[in-house]
Parts: sequence; structure tokens; C-alpha cells
Amino acid sequence: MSNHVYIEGKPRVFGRFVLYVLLIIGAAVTIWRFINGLGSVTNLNDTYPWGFWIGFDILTGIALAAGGFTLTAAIYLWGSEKYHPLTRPAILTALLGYIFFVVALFIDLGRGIVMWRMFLPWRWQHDSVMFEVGWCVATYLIILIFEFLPSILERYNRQDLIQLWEKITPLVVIVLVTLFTYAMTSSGLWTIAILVITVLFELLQMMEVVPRSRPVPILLIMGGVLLSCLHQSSLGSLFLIVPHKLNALWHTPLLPIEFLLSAIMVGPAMVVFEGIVSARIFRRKPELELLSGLAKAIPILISIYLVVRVVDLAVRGAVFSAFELTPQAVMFWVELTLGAVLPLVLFATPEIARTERGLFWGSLCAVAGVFIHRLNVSVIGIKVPSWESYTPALSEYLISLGVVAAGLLMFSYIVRNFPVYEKPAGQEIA
Amino acid sequence: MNGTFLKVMISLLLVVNTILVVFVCNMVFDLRQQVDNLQGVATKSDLIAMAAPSIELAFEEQCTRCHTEKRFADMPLDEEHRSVLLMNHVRRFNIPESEIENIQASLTLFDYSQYLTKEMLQQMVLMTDGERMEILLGIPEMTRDKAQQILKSYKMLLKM
Repeated sequence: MSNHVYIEGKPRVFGRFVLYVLLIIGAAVTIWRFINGLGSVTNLNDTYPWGFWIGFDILTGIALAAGGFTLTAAIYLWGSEKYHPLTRPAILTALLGYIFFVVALFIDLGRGIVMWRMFLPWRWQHDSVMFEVGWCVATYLIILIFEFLPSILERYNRQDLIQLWEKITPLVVIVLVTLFTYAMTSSGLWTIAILVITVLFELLQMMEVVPRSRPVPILLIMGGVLLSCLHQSSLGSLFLIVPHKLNALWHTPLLPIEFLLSAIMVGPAMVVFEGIVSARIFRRKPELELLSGLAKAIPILISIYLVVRVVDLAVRGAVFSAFELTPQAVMFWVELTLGAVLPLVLFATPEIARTERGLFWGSLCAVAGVFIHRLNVSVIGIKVPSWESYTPALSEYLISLGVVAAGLLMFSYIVRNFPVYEKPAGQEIA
Repeated sequence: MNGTFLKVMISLLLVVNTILVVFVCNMVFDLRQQVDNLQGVATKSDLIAMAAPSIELAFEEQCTRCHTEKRFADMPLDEEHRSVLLMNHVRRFNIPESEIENIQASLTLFDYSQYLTKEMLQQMVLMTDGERMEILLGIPEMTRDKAQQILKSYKMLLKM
């Protein structure tokens, strides 16, 4: 039987009021956007077809949803079982992150309504990174839904459906991964190879040669980690084609690796941040011991990311750009110090990493660092003298805030009505 | 708390300082390499050349508002030049004669941008015509006539 509980406390009235106001304003501007077109609500132009929405809603949103795959990998692939109580909130955050990413994409795309065409084999475009990202996100979204399904089924006490879920989930993952391989390669050989490997793995588990993981099928976790790594890095690949537009401080052949490393780095930080903030909002005690334990991994992950960033800049000879008096150089230093060095120091100091306040500020800095990095790559770093400039319109901010507000309200509703949080031993809901 | 704050500040400065040291070492190393690459004492004409403005491809500012760079990349050079004249005379864009020459010179260099990167074009400012020709003739399938044409375009853009 599951040890999960419903959150009983309601978020503070003022907070809810602000979120509803933001949601209503965002919805109104979105309706305006669909009636009058993109030009009526954005300052985007032919020189800057991608702006704040891509940087914030998509690049940052996807990166911050990385907690789902990093935590499930840590627990189910590397055996850090004690962090199990943090899994469902992390998966829920990831699921909502991806759902609202798709919503934001519909608003951002000129003709989002034809997005489904990427699934038609005669429209497959293997030279396009976006094609890979689109497929990855679609398949990973299905995997996240499957990862979150037990919460919904437990809510309605459907043990029969939970058993069915356990049986069909590996098959669904096999079909998804095989289909994804065929879509990406159009190669029968690769498709058969992936099909054979995944089916063989499942058979070995059925014959109990390989231990079967409970409560989540290991193939589901593996599929999620695989697809996440692929599209987290591919989002960086999107910017490889603009060496003449993106500042040398960010344009590097290692951009996909940097995107992946920063997503892995921010994954646990986001889980810590969400754990502390949701505890404050719902007036319950945070899982401080677990969050502190998880935070121990963050300095290592930030160090790896920092070393890659610094060495890459030095090897490419882009260091000079960091010492110019430009907005890009200033933002680079803000990103590096506030978003990487400061959380590294905070999490590496035991007196701070053990306290609620320390965890909050450390994780906030790490999250802000990834947000600034994505914004630097997609908006601030893209400056070409004498070309048209771009400053996001107020309506762009309002729509983004509306999307975030919708996500937070949905999160609040789900944790109060579905068993998401696990009750740690000796702790009571306040 | 004061002790912890001090510890954090020291660690923060230490890490930032380490990054700065790596960056500065890298800059010094780069500078040393550049100095090593200097072949002789700079002459007055070298200094004048160094003061020359950087090479700006005229079409980047004017044409890419409507055309993509890929369009130019896919088009043979003669056709590009014809297109510019066509736009001027048939479509009545009224581009000044001097500007047409600059755009055509830019497009000539753009056709070889795979080999003649911005850094390379900048380095060529300091070179003699002979050294420039040597570099141009090093481009695969380059003929002497073509190299002369590129050199002429390059010198025209230098005077801009």
C-alpha cells in the first residue's frame, strides 16, 4: 500500500489571488494573440524570430523540468532509494512543465495547429533538430504521464488498473522507443536492434534473470532518462546554426553538452527549491534531511559544469569577450557568479546546506543561473550591431506569467487532490 | 553566522578568482602567441593598415533584411551580380552605383566565406598583395584570374 498523502493546507489567499489575476490577464492576452496574430502581442521580427517565449517558456521551462528524470535516475538506476518521497512531486513538476511547454509552444508558433504533421512519415525531416526535439518531447510526455498514473489510480483506489499499468507500461515504452528510433533514423536495422534489446531486457526481467524494480518498471525510467538527455542537449543544438548572431561567450560546439550538463545540474536544485517552497506555501514541514542529502550532489554537478564552461571559453579564445564593457559580458558574469559560483559555494558549505534558508537560497541561485543562461543564449547573447533590435513586449511577459500561474495553480490543485507527497516517518502535516 | 558569512565570501572570491586567473592566463598565452607570430618590425604602412576599419560585408546589412544568407550561398557568383543589377534597373531599387560595387565585392568574398573567415580577412589587412594572393591561391580549385578578382574586391572593401 502506498505511503502517499494528500496535502491538507491550502495555499495562502493572497498568493492564490495573484496567481488567478495573472492567469486571467495571460488568458486574455492569449485570446487577443489568436484573434490578431503574433505581431499584435510581440516585438518579434524577421531578425529576431525567437525571443523571450523561447528563452523562458521553452528553454528554461524544459531545463527546470529536468528534476523528473534526474531524480528518477538517481533513485531507480543508482539505488538512492531514500529519496523516494521526493519522486512524485518531481515527476509532477516535470509533467506540468512539459504540458505548459506545449501550451506555450502553441501560443508561440505561427501555425501551431499543424504541429501534428511531424508524426506523418512522409513529412519527417531528419536534418532538423526541431524534428528530434518535437518527437522527444511528445514521447517523453507520454512517459511522464505513465510515471504519474499511479497517483491518479491510487486516488480512485483502482488496484486492478494499477496492476494493468504494471503490465502494459514496459510494452508502451518498448513501442515508444522503437517508434522514436525509426522516426529518427528511418533505418530498419537500428529499429530492429532497439526492439530486440528492449524486448530482451523485459524478457530477462520476466524470467527473473534481471531483478524487476518496484514500484516503477525500470524500462519506463530508462526511456525517460534516454529521451530527456536527447532533447535537453538538442535544445542547445538549435543554436549551433547561428554563429554569426550568437555572442562568442555562448556559441560553442559544446552548446548541446552545456545544455545537458546545466539541466542535470539544475534538476536536483529544482527538486530542493520545489520541496522548500511547496512546504512553505502549504504550511507543512519540509523533508529537510532528504533535501540536504540531495543537495550534496549539487556542488559536484555545478563543478563539472563550471569546468566545462571555463575550459571551453579558454580553448575557443572567447575569453576576451568576457572583459568587454557590453551588456553581454555583464550578463555573462552575472550568470557565472550568481548562477553557478554562488550556489556552488552555498551548497558546499555544510552549515548552510543543512538549513532550510540555505537550501532555499542555494537552489534559487542555481535555478536563476539556468534561467539567465537560457535567456542569454536565446535573447541577450543574440545581438548584432546595426541590425534590428528586440526588446520583449509587455504582452510577452504577461502571457509567460499566465502560463506559469496556470502551472502553479494546477500543481496546487493536484497535490491537494491526489496522493503526491509521501509522509516521512515521524512527521505530521501541519 | 558571521563566521559562516565570512567562509562563504572567502570561498566565493576564491572560485571567482580561480576563474579570473584561468581567463587571464589564457589571454596572456594568446597574446604571446600573437607576438610570436609577428614576423618583423611594423612599418609605417603596417600601422596605417592596422588602423584600417574592419571588413564589413555590405550585403549583410542591406540585403539580408529580405533575402536569407542561404539564398546567396546557393547562387553562382555571376547570377548574384546579375541579380543586384536586375534589382536596381528593373525593380527600380535605386541603389547608388558605388554601393552596387560594394555589394558585388561583398558577395564575391561571401562566396568564399568558408575559407576567408572574418578573422582571416582581418589578418590579411597587414599583408602585402603577394602574401594575400598566396592565401587566395591556397583555396581549393582557385584560378589566378579568380584570385585577382577576389583581391580586387577585398581591396575595394578595405577602402570603404
